[in-house]
Amino acid sequence: MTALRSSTRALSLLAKRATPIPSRSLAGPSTGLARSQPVFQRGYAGGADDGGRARDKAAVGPFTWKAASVFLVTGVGLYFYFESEKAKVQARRREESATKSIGKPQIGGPFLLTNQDNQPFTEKDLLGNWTLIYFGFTHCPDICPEELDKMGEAVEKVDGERKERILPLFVSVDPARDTVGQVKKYVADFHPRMVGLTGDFDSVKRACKSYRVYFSTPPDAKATDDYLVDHSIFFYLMDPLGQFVDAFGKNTTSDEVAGKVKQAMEKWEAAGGNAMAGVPLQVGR
Amino acid sequence: MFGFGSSSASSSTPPPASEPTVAPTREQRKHCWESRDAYFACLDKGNVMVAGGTEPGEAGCKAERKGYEVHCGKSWIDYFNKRRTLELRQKATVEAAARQRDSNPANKGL
Repeated sequence: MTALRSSTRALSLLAKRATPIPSRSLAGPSTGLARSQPVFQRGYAGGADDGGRARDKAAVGPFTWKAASVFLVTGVGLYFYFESEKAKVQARRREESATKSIGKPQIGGPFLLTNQDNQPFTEKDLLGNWTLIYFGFTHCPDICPEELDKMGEAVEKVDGERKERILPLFVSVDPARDTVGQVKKYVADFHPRMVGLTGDFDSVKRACKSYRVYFSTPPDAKATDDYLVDHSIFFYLMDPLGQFVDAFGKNTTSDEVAGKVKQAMEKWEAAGGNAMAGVPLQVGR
Repeated sequence: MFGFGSSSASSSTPPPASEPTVAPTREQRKHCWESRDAYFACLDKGNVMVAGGTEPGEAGCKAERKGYEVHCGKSWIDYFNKRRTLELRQKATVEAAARQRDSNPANKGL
C-alpha cells in the first residue's frame, strides 16, 4: 500500500515537472491546436510565460478562426466519410463470405475414369451440370452409405424445386475391388441418376489428387483381400463449369445441402446462367 | 469417425480364396447394422468394454455375437468393435473428468 502511494506521488511529481515542456512546444509557431484549446494553456503558462505567448502570436501569422473552422469541418467530414466507407467494405466482405464467391480453393481438375456403363468419363462430362461428388468405396461399413443417402435425398429435394438436374457422382477410391459391375450395382442403391466412376490405381490416384482427396488403399491390394480404406469423407458441389462451390461434411443435413445448392443455382442464374458461362444447359435428364 | 486411426488394411484371407469379395447390398448392410446394434446393446447390459468374446461379462451375448458375425464381414467387425471401445473410453474419460470437477470443493457453488 505504501509502496503504491509513494509510487503515485513520484508519478505526479514527474508529471508536474514534465508538463511545462510539451505545453510550450504545443504553443509553438507551427500549430494552431494550442490556441483552440486555451483551457490547457492557462493551466501551466503563468505570468513569466506571457511574453513568449505574444511572440508566438506574431509568429503564427496565417492562423484565423476561419482556417480553424475549415480545418475542423474538413476533419470531421473526412472522419465520417472513412467510417462510412469502412462500413461499406465490411458489409461487402460479410456478404462475400456468406455466399463464398471469392477465394475458391483449387478443387477439381482433369481426370479420366470409367463410368458404370463402361464408358470413359472425364472432367468434360461435368460441364453444364451441377455436380455433387463423393469419393468412397463399395465395401465401406457405414459412413459412405450414410453420406450417399444424404446426397440422394438432397438431389430429390432440389429436383422438386428447380428445373436444373444435379448429377450425383460417386468415385471409387478402391480400384482393386470396385469393378465397373460392382460400382454399377452400388450406385443404383442411392439414386437412379447417380453415376459411379472407377479406374486403375493411377487414374483413381490422379482424380483424387485433382479433388484434394486423401485415400489409403495400398497399391498392391488384391480383390480377394478384406480391408477398409481410410479416405476423406466430404462431398463437393461443383458448378456447371466444373468449379468448386462448396464442401459438405458429416454434420451437414440433406436440407442444408439442398439449401446451399439452390442458393448457388439462383446466384448462377442471376449472373447469366449456363448461356453466359458458355456451357450447355442440362435440364430434365 | 472414419478419418483417423481406423483400420486401413486389416487383411485376412477370406474362406474361399481367389474369389473377389462382393460388396454387401443395402439389405445386407441393414442386417449387419441391426445385428451389430443388438450385440452391442447386450454388451452394454453386461458392462463389457471390449467386444469380441474376450471378456467374461459377455457370456449371455453368444447368440447376438453369432448373428453379428454372420451378417458382417470381418473388416467391418474389427472396425465397429474398435470404434465402440474408443467411444466407451472417451465417454469414461469425460465422465471421470466431470466427477473430479464436481468433487473438488473449489468448484462448489458454480
